[in-house]
Amino acid sequence: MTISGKIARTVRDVAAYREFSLFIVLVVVSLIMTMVSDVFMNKANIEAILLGLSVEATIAVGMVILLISGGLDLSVGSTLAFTGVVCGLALTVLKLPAVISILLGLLAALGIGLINGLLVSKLKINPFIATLGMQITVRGLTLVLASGKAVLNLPASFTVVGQGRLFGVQYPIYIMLTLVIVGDLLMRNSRFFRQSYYIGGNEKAAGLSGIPVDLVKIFNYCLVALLAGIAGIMITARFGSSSLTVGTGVELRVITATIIGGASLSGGEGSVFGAFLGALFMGVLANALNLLGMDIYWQNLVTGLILIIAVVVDVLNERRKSRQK
Amino acid sequence: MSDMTADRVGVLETPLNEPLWQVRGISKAFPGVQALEDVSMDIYPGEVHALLGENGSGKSTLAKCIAGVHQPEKGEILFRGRPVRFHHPMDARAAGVATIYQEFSLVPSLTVAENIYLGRYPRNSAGMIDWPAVRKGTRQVLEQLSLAIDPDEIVRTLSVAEQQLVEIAKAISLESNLLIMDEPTAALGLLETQRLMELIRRLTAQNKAIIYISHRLDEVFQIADRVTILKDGRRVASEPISKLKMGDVVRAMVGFDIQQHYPKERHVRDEVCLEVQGIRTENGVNDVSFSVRVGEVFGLGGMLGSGRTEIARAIYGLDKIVAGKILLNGRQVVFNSPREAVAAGVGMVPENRKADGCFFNFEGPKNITISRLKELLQGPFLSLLKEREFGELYLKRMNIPATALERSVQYLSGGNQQKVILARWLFSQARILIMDEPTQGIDIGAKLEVYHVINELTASGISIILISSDFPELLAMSDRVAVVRDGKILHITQSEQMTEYQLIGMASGAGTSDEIE
Repeated sequence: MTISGKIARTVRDVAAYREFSLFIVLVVVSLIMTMVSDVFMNKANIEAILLGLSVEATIAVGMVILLISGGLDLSVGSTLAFTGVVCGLALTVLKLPAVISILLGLLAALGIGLINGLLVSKLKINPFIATLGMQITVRGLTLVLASGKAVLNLPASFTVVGQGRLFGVQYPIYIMLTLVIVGDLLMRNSRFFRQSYYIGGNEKAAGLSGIPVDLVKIFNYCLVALLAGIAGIMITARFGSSSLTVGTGVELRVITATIIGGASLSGGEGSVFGAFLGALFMGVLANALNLLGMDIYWQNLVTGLILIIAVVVDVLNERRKSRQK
Repeated sequence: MSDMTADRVGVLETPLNEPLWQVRGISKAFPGVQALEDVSMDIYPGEVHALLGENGSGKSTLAKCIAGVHQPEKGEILFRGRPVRFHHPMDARAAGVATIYQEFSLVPSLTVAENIYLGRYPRNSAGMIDWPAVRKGTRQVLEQLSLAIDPDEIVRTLSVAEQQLVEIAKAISLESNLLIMDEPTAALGLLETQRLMELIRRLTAQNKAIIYISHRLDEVFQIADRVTILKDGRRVASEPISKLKMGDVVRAMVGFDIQQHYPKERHVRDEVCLEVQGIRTENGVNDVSFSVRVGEVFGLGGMLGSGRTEIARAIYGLDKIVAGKILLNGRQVVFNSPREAVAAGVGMVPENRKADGCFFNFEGPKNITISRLKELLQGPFLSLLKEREFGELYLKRMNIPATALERSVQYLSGGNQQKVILARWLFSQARILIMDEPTQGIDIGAKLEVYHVINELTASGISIILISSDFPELLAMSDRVAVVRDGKILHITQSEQMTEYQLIGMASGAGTSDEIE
């Protein structure tokens, strides 16, 4: 093979990665937006975009890992609200310090993840059904726990988590970026996390090859719940109150982001970085449509179309590959 | 079934001395294998026509050609002397062919009655499904089989034997003149088998024809009127059973082909590495004992459903051992999962490599490294560079195309996929490897390569438990062979002291070689 041929092949290989094509699309959209709007590239606007997607992107890190292992969690939105309320009640009713309250909230989230994991791996309940049940149950539990009222007036020692700034940038953005980078690194290079790809690719073969399938699955359900809990803490701290309806529908937005980012509902495919780009794409798109003065309803329409296009591109790619044979 | 319905599908019109169905010189090829070549058989009304042959000899393919599942490339099928052409199983069914397949065709979540009438529910005057008629019809069919099963029972809750009987009930409830039974007794106990025999006699008394496929020669000699024997896709005999002795049948099944050359090397050492002592499991392994030496290939020979795969499952930690014990290098081990078996140096090449072995979301290297990711650790992380190097090394060593470095193993041939799985266990440094049908469905060249890998493995002191339905292969590649039947080991011997003829005789229940002679 000639050098130029080699380069051409490398370019084609890289281009085949979803992360790459998504990145290019993001750059193009950003360039266009910079030209047509003088607000888009402002620090304030960029920070708003990132802050806006911090909740989705944080959960997406866990969701994509779960999807890669062949799982699914529809209860993350409820877990998010539940964590916020547990944390808020610990702060206001029990008068516990912020750190303890946060840990309590995260522990509650982990408990939900553990139940999801056990239902799916040990009792072999379909993940869609199990976590749909948990979504409704946990939302109900949240309402019962808070007697149907939001927990207001959270102390400053807690709200600083969502509102404080480092080098002029709000904490949630750091938290999100750290989780994305660490998550991506682990999925690419850690022995434990690699196992999720094997399980999602062929669960039976993974078990026969000596992978602790149930353990990894339970871990992944706990992880996504924990990240939903972290997102819940961030958003509660940002608003200064524990809302009971916060996080409604977040699970579908998160799954959409991961699929746009290259994950597949049948497992074995996807990456944390791709999921982040998917979330970023949805955030940028919403912002762009907003700046262009388009009606908010266009957002759903465009996001939906992008999701379908992403999946169609996948299918066509797959067909092309199998024809090459 | 009333005479009128029977007449509609042509039983009464056919004189007993003329063939009802005729298969004329049909051939059928699948990628890499000529499954049938120029096969003919005549099926007379009111006869049980046994179709015999070794695993892979083409029996099921022939049955599926008659049932319209496969379309033969050459030859024709005649019904009452007139050529018919089936493009779909429904065509064959319309012509009066009902089939009981080896793999169940029942819908587990439906009731017995719903399954029996699936796709042909009777309607009442209002155009709705006539449920009382469905139940009544079902009860009648079940009574014919002396079956005490509630028509409203959900199929999933039935035992495997009961499901098999429902499958049979479904087939006999169809208006048919020919019933094809592919291994109908594989899941049945003695009593149920006897009931099935009685039913078959009642059906033939109605002048229906039966094609009876079975590995169990004792049954065949009990029920069949005529026997057709296939060997490597060709017909080697077709005779009334009264002209044959069991020994003739076995000899015809084995054939007198020149033995294929197997590159067997012997590397057996003295030390025993695995001892299995009187193990039992809930799915049929019954007091099995044997030992395997370092570098030995220990063959498990038996028919489908004999319990050979179940023995392997028990050793690999897939099924719970309820009695007996396993010693690995002299120390007792209990594996609760394959994970523990793998950690102790036991590996398994599963029978169904696509469904149970390959990861299509990955290219070659990651398919190979899975069982010993530890080896790739550099500090806390996996070294992807090392993974690629190992991948390259093992692909080359196993003679797998280098394209597997970059592309999903999905695009490899079956033989190369199998070699990827063998490479996995080579890489994982397993000491004992269970191979379940390692050469099934792969071409001759790849088979030879698998044999060479077996030699290479045993030379390096790895022991192999080999399961194969290809008996010549099993005898040639094993150092010792155990004959398995009904979950028990009947006999263990040096493989050169056993002929294929004896092995088939014992595994099929025809008796020991002396009894056959």
